[in-house]
Amino acid sequence: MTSITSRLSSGRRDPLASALVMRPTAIRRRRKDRIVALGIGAILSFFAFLSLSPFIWAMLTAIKPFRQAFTNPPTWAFTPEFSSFAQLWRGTEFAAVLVNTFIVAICSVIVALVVGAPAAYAFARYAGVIGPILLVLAVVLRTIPRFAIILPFYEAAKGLGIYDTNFALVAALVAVNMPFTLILLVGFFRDIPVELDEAAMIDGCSRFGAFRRVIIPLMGPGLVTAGVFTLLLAFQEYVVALTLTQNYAVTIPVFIAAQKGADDVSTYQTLAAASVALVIPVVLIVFFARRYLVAGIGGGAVKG
Amino acid sequence: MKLKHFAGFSAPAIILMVGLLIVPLGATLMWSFQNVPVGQPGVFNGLANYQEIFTSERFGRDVAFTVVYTLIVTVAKVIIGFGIALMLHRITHGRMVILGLLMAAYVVPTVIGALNFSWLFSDIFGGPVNRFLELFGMHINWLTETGPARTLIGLHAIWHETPFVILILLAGLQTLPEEPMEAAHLDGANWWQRQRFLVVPMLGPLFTFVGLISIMDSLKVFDSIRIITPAAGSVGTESIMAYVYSVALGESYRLGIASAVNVVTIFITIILLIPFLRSTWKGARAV
Amino acid sequence: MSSPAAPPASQKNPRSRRRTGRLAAGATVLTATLLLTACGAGADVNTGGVACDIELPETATTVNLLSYNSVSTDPFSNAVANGCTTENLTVNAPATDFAGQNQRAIQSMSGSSASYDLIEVYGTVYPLYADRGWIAPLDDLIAERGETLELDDIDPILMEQLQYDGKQVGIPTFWGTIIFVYREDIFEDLGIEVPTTYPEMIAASEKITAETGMAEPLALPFNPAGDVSTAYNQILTSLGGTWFKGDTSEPNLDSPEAVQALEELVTLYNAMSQEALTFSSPEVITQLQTGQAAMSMLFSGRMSALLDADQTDFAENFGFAVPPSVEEGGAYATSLSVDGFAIAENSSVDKDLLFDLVGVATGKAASVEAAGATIPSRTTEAQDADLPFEPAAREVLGSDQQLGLPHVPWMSDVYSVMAPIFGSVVTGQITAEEGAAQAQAAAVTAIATAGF
Repeated sequence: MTSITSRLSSGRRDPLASALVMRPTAIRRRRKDRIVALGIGAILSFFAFLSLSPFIWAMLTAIKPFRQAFTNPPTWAFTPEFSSFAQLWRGTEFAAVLVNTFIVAICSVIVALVVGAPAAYAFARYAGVIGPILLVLAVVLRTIPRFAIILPFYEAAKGLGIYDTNFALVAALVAVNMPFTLILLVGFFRDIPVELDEAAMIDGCSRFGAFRRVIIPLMGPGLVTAGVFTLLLAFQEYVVALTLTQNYAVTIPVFIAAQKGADDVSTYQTLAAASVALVIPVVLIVFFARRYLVAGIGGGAVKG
Repeated sequence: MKLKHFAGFSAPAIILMVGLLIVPLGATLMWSFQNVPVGQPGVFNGLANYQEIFTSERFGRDVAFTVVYTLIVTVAKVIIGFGIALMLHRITHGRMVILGLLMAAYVVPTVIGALNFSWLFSDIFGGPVNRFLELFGMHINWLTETGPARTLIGLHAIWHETPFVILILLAGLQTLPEEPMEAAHLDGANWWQRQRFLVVPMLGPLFTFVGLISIMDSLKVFDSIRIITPAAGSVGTESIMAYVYSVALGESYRLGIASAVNVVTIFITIILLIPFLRSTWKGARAV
Repeated sequence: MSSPAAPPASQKNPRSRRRTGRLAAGATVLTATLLLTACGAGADVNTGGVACDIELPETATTVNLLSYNSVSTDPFSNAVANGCTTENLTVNAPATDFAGQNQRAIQSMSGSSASYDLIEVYGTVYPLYADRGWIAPLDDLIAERGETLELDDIDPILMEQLQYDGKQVGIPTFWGTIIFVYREDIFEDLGIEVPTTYPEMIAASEKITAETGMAEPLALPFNPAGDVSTAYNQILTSLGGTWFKGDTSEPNLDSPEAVQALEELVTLYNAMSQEALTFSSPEVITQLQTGQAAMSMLFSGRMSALLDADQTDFAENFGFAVPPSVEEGGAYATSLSVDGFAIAENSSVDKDLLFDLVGVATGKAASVEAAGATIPSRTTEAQDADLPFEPAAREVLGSDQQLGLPHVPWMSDVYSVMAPIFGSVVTGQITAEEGAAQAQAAAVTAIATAGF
């Protein structure tokens, strides 16, 4: 009996239970649930609209003819033109920079995981005090403002001859995001029982073998979570990319910010088009990875 | 795990972090005790830089603004984010679609998101917000008056960063065990009591995490301020980092002062994070 | 019999296989779209090159040119970047925003190896570069290789604007003075004459509001991120004040003229929208283009956007005139800005080649390209282009008054600390006297800490 009422009260639809115990209060509750769900859906849709509103506005700005794009009060009746998108694609290096940003992003993810996962595993498993010390140090390192590190980065990159290369940018992005990656992954590793490691090692695996064959496969969602955040950083980081790139390794934030002309707003439409053109692929990435993200975070990646 | 394994596994990450983060930190510390005119090596000047910033009224204002901004925005993000996460958790259809749409504000680079956001509020460029407010007989000078400008920066931060909170907390809600909830419900606890005594404590580590990240990042706010209110100093929206940029990389180049400010920022951040650091330490020690 | 929760992604079941299938399909579609549209990607980027008749290097050489993006600078940068990238030579002119240019320039020129070989310079920044020896004196190169360049076609006043300590350190590309722009149609309809003093200008603005209901006809760039300092400089110039005492590094910002200049600044601000503190050139141009404003004072090089029929309905209605003076009989309230190219001293590229490239970038063909948008420094090409705003600008250039900011290396440091103080004066937080005193003190401190 308890199980039936518990199923009912948790809101899930259990045909058997419903058939047995469908009372008027249950009908009213069901209808109330539906109204509440609709209401929540409406509120959430409103928030989603708020979240998207700047991009909707950018889209409108990009497709209005220039003369009507910046009028005050705004012009609502116009014939859409897509010349600003054409100008963005053909008249600027947008496509090439976008591809380069993808390359930098994917390389950063690979390096960050290859370097960060073993380290996080070590922090999670090692019993000594140095693990927590390093973890707290990682948090402290994440507090360093960007301005404190860009000049040394610039000097080092010039000195090593890797200025304006994707290599330097990937190294910088991985290093800057390493504290976050470690914090994320340590929590996740800690949730995996030590017994699994021990079982694998008893079966003859080395410590590294246990790590590779047993632990990593269990960590799909956690790795994806850490990977997605590192990927996003490559698309979002401005100050570091500004310092380390010039011609060849330019990434999207630097490129778009540089489009702003000094005299007038003639480039603003291209900027608006770029904003819209950027939202779409990045949201798609997160969209495809959403289940992994939720599973990864919920699965213990962040359980401090 | 044996020490040699620990060393082997963690060496690359530690070398990367030490090399690329600690060395600049050391350089910053060194410069903070020097006077470094543009393009020339530094000259030691003791505590003069620190003295200058601690007696500077402008710096004091900026720190006050940045800290208050951080606290308000963090609390707002957590409350709004938790509210939305609860709502997302409650519905069954379209949850992931709405989550994806909400994430749009988070994933776009700040330099672009802030620009688009500011267009909404700009009268010159035909922004709709004031037109909407006119329906209620209001008109706000978002970009020229201090109060509205600060609110605008705060609104941008909430718009941009709440999706991250939503993501983390929703994931936590989705993996909460069902039994305690049902037991409490059967025991007569209403929704509010369940949240307060069960859900929130169980999500404790996640709240800690988002709070930590939010405080760290809000204290370093810069990109949005530069884009939305370029004349931050006059409007009253100058953050600590905007001050650093203005003295070190803007029109004048005083790397010594800027480095001193960076060092002070790190200290302020660590102080605000002490509770979080303690829980990270305790959690890590409990291996 | 409870319904299962969504299975973890790692389980191999039909739902996850379907999801993988969908992912693969999505990826294929995306790649196909990208490949299809990649045909056009960046197709129109490398246009605007000019003939490059210079001695090309024997070995593969790359030259990097630093310049901010704007309708005025782009024609010159593109002319040399696209025209001279041929055979062994590659000239890069990466997009840079205005604020970033100075930062990048200093970073590059003060380091041991140069990131940029050719540097675009303008009035407030080049004295510092020259003082530190970061940009190369060009006099010898001009003597050796300058004949074909016909540098006499450039007004000597403009050449002087890029000299430091008696040496020529840059070759001018374009110039502009602040001139007055107004809506001819509105002025005609209401019988308003072009103002010659500030009070007349403000009166005209009030009349337009009264008769046409245009809320804020006068729009001036007053942004405390830098524009308000330009406005101050205009007024100070008109009143006969100076930034520094004689040739010294002692600021003169608490003189009676300086105090009066601040008072005038407040008067001007009160005649405009409260939002004027957010106005920079783009905002003012937009207001003129959309009919929210009817007059302004701007650098001539920014005006071409007002004449573009694709950008504004009023392209035929704008008139240009010399700027008013603050008081009756005073000098024009104006400023002079000259942009040009300089050679980085720490560049490893052969200086002869760099000079030749500067020659192309500042040459006749480049000037013709630019003449649609701004006033090139070459007089022939400038006048051939018949720009509506050129006569007014040239009249200002030819007047025998002080123009432009002093060319001293600490100008940038002083300029940057002025803006917040002017902002406070304008909003009424401090009086003009207090503002003048603060400005003087701030300038003294800035010069001292900059090491002068």
